[in-house]
Amino acid sequence: MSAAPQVTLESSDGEKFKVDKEVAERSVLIKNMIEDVGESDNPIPLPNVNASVLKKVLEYCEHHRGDPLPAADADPSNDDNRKRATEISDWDQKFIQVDQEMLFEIILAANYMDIKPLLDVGCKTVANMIKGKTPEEIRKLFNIVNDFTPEEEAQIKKENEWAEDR
Amino acid sequence: MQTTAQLDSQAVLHFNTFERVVGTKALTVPEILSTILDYATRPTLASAACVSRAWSSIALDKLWSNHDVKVLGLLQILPLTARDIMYNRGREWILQRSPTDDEWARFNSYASRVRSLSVSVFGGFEPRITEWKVENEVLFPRLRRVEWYTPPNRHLKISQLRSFVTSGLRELYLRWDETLPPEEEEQTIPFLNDLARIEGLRLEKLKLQYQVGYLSSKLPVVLANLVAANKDSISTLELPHSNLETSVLANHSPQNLKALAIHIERFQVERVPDQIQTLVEVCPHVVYLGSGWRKATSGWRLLSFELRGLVRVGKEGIGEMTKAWPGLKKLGFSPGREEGRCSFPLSFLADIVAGFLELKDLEASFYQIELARDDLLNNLPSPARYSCPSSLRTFRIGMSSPPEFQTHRDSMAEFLARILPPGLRIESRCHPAHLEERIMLSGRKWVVAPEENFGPKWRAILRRIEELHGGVRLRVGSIPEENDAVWF
Repeated sequence: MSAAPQVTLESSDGEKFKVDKEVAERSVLIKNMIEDVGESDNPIPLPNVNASVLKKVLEYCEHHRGDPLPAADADPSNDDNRKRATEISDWDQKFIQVDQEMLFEIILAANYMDIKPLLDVGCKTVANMIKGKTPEEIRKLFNIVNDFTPEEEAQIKKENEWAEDR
Repeated sequence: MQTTAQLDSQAVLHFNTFERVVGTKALTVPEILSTILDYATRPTLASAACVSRAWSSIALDKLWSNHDVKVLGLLQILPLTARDIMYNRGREWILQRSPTDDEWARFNSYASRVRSLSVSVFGGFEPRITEWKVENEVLFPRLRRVEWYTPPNRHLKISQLRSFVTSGLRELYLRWDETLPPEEEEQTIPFLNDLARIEGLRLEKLKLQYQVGYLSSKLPVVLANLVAANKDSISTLELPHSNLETSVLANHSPQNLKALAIHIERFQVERVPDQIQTLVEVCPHVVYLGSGWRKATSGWRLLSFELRGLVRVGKEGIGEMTKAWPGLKKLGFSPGREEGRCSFPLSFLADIVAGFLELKDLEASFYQIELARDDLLNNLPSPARYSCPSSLRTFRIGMSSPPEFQTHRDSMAEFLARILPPGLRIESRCHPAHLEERIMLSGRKWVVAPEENFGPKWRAILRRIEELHGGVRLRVGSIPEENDAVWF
């Protein structure tokens, strides 16, 4: 029996990861690269992802290797259901229990490597972090500078009070 | 020596400096922030809108894009007072004075974010807003979807609807719960004619649900023109009357039509374009799904099928369906009642879940039907025959339950627990007021109200499901009131 085809990925800090092609192709970026360039023994460079993050991302891809690809889901009526499902599966929940730095690194990597389900897991986690927080608490959490004048902020708050009910 | 407080503040300072590098970078990518806010609740979006200018723009777009909410925030920007309409028909809004330019500018800044609007007097919206605005000024320039719903006894004027339509509109859903008054029905014709002439309008979804009165002779031509004008774009079509399909579809077969709701009993299935993937069959009269059906429909590559009305499917019919549409992903049944009995025995569900091997989404609504015990329980297949495609992700059963149901709860629990595939999680949708009476089970996850709120019947069902699918989580949840009406 022949071994599953493999590819080598190279992180920004030069570490090489040999993984099954099927696992690497959870990333649409890599899938397209392989399609464009054809299979070769040369490592695929990922200049935006360092080794520790890539290791984590590949752990996710390995676990979800058999999942149906979201793009293949042709059900047209389920288009807007995605947003409602804030549920994160148990495995994903454990996987994403990392410090804030790693969480955002994973999100950036998932965005860059085009791994939609992983991006969603990361973004849902951040959405859960800001749930129920005041604007000031959100700013503190992520160190965001408030570029509104107090009057502007008060006006926006007032005009969107209707949304705070539920 | 440093105090604990000093140490803490240093720690926070260090943490924040560190976060600035990482957190901010990801959060400055608009697509990432946008995806995060896709999962934010409405109050969180309101908070996020005040964080910074960059956050505000994305959060407000999401907060205002879908304005199907009960309290319409837009109106609060204008100097209005509310007045209750007699006989509990909702409320209307009165303009106290002419809004200032600044008030209109604020109004416009939000109105331009609205993509979807549900207009109904019960929804708190005031359609006369079209009269307050400067003539010919577009109210909602980015509006993509309008749902126009007139409940009984209070009619929204179709002429008001015209101000909501721009060439960007893609989905139009008109629903009247009663026959229109003649003068209003008369207005429908010029409105639809006008719609067909809007330059650049590319409707994708058109749903009309109302009783057609004396206009039934004029409507086919008007609707046919509208569909013809949008034949390259239209993908979903629901027509209000059974004699309309032939004239609308036969001569102007829309190329991209994927979803169709029709009244099958008078319509010839041969006329359905064969690219249809979603078919909703609305049948006020009895429908037989027999071998003729299979012959007529086996060329369709249906992904979704929904049947509303009285259905005489029969076991053979289900066999025919499973053979005709092997790739079906979604199936819905809302069977009507016939001689006091549900026209579709629940036991057939087992045949359905076993027959469609690629089914992902199953919904069977038995609400508003007094379920006869015999239909439900005595015809249950033997446990050995229960099976379920592993593809199933969502499973919903809506039902009301007659008193005698109580005595058969164990069979019911057994049935539900067994037809559900391992790993499928269930969502209960039940209004707190109806917890003892009714329940909605649906797929993907357990969201169950506190167990003490359940009657013994459902406790037994849930317990049995738990036994069969070990390790199931029960989670506390509540169902928004407006969703309730959908299911019960």
